[in-house]
Amino acid sequence: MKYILKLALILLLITVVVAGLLGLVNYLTEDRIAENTAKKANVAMQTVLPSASYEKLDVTFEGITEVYKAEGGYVVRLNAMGFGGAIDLMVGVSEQGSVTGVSVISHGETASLGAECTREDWRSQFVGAVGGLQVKKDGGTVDALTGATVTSRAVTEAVNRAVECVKEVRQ
Amino acid sequence: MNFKKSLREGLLTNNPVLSQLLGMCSTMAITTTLFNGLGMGLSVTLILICSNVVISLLRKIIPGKIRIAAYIVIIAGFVTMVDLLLKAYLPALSDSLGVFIPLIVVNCIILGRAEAFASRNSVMASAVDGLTQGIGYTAALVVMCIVRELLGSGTFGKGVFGADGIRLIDAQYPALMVILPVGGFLTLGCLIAGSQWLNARMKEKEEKK
Repeated sequence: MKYILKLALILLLITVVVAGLLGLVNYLTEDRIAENTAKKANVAMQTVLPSASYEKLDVTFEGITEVYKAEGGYVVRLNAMGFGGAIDLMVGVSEQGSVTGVSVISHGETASLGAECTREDWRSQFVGAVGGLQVKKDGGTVDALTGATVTSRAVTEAVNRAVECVKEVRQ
Repeated sequence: MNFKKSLREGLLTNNPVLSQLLGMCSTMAITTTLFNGLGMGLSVTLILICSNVVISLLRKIIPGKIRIAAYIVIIAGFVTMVDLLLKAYLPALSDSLGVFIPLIVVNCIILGRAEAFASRNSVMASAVDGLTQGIGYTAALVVMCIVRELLGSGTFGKGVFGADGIRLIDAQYPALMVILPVGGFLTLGCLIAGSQWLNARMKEKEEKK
């Protein structure tokens, strides 16, 4: 009995010390991490639809994370189900309902294949689209990334979803 | 304590990746660009040194029956600290390595060194062991990264030397397969064969002496 208590006490002591140190590191880095995350989201919003301010709308849609009202349109944040898990995307849609830009915030796609979805020259093909997009393999117009059809389909589907969402918001 | 001997063990005769075959998951998954390999290697080295030192310091206090639990708590603590620090100060690397930083907790190399070395050697020797094993791990990763990045994407140092690195093979020619897991296995197989050949040759030379 005494021995078991001793074991438990030693383990408890180690975990308490580790937890304390982790708390300290978290306290020291918390602000900076929050700042980095906010900065990243902001940069993404500015690329898809430049605006002086973004106002978060209080709407909930299935499969949509956040919707912001910007000058001249909306910015939709949503997840696409890629090859390596969720792809966090920002899609800008104008008042007229056409895509103004797509930006990838984070993803877990394969390097050099799906990860190429962050490339500007690939993302730019979505600009001007008004929904109902499909990749070429499925009979549509979107150029899929080489060796990354799953990623391309996921992003295309997410862009469609963002356009649909904005349609509903405007009504 | 012999640094040279320890370094040789870490790099060749007892390399964590090529001889002990530990940490395969991260080795396969992240060795697609030099940037990833260096980042992962240095993170693991840092964690390995810290955990080896602490575990060696506590080796007389931690009872044998709860040692694994205690080691994992200590390792997980260091990994989480590195994860938070990377997120705060090197967000690009943190994004690129993603979940593989938190997964260092279950990387067998670190627990393996804690169990096999740090728990029965002095603090200084354990620190050296952590450093040399870390160097061995980093070296194996870097070689794999260079081969896979060159053959698979046709570039060198993507992310290290500018966002696109140095392009050595025109974009349409590289073998995409090398970037995929199958290429990882092939590269690793060749690398292990190479290091075993080198080991055997060195042993032969020593015996002749």
